[in-house]
Amino acid sequence: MSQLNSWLLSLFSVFHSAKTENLKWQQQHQHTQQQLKSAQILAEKALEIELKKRTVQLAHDIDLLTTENQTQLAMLKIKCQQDIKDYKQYLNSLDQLKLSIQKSYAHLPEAVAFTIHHHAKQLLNQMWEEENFQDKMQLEMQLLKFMTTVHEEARLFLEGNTIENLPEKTLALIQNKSH
Amino acid sequence: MIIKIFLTLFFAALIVLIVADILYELNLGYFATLVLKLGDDVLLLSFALLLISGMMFFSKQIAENLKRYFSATERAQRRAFFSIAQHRYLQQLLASKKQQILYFATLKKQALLHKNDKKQAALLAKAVLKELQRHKTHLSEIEFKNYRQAIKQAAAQQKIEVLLNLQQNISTFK
Repeated sequence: MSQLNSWLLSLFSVFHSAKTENLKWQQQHQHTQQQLKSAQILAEKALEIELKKRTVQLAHDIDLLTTENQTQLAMLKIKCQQDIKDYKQYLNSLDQLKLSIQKSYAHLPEAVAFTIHHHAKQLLNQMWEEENFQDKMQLEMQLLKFMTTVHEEARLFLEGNTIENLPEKTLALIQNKSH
Repeated sequence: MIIKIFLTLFFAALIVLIVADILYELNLGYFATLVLKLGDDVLLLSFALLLISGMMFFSKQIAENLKRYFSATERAQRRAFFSIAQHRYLQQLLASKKQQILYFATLKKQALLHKNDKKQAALLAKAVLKELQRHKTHLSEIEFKNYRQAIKQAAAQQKIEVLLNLQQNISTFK
């Protein structure tokens, strides 16, 4: 019984000494702990202020971005609508071009007018699908030159100002392109 | 502190149980039963105390976490993260909306081209058929039928180049 008593006493003494050590450590570092605690509170407050500022800035940015996006989308929509309109007009112009050839050169087989029309349409599609701006412009110039040549030749033939029975220049342009 | 009380109660219960065992060995059954009941109660009490302390510990943890979750700093942080996510979402939305607009524009352009191709193919096929009719006398009946079928097929598939080639072929018949 006395052995158990001494064992229990030693156990309690170990426990008490650990507790005393802990208290001593707490006392020694009390100042540092307080400093750390206040530093943590200050840092949290600073972080909160910084985050609030950032949120306000972001909200402002979001407003700007929304407006900018809406403008960009509206502009893109208008551009696409204009592109479609232009494309439709180009197709109509090409149909007119074919009719002009058929009207001027009544003796020509219809296939010639269709070949010219087909070539012009190929040029138009090439131009439309080209992504490089310089190449696109070049192809547009080529198409315009082709259309002008066709109309000019048809007009000259209709007015009787040419001795050629065929739209030679136009056919030469098609030949050059295919070679 | 609670752990200390628990340990004290636990060891006390063990001692009481040992005492009950000794009393039972000494044929003091009535006292042994009483002491055993006391030991059981003390043991139960010690574990109940441990359970309560555990529950208190977890409740405290949960309360602290909740307090932290709803603290001003955390709330500001969440709001900032939400704004960043919204910013990114708007940028992605712009890109997809642009793609959508371009896609519909391409579809419209293709529809216009398809309509024009169809019209031109029909007109050309009509002209080629007329040409074929003119050269009917130079062709056998089978050749004529084959050419007519080829023209109709090319017109249906809107193959302008094929129709132009057929026209060239037919125009050479004499």
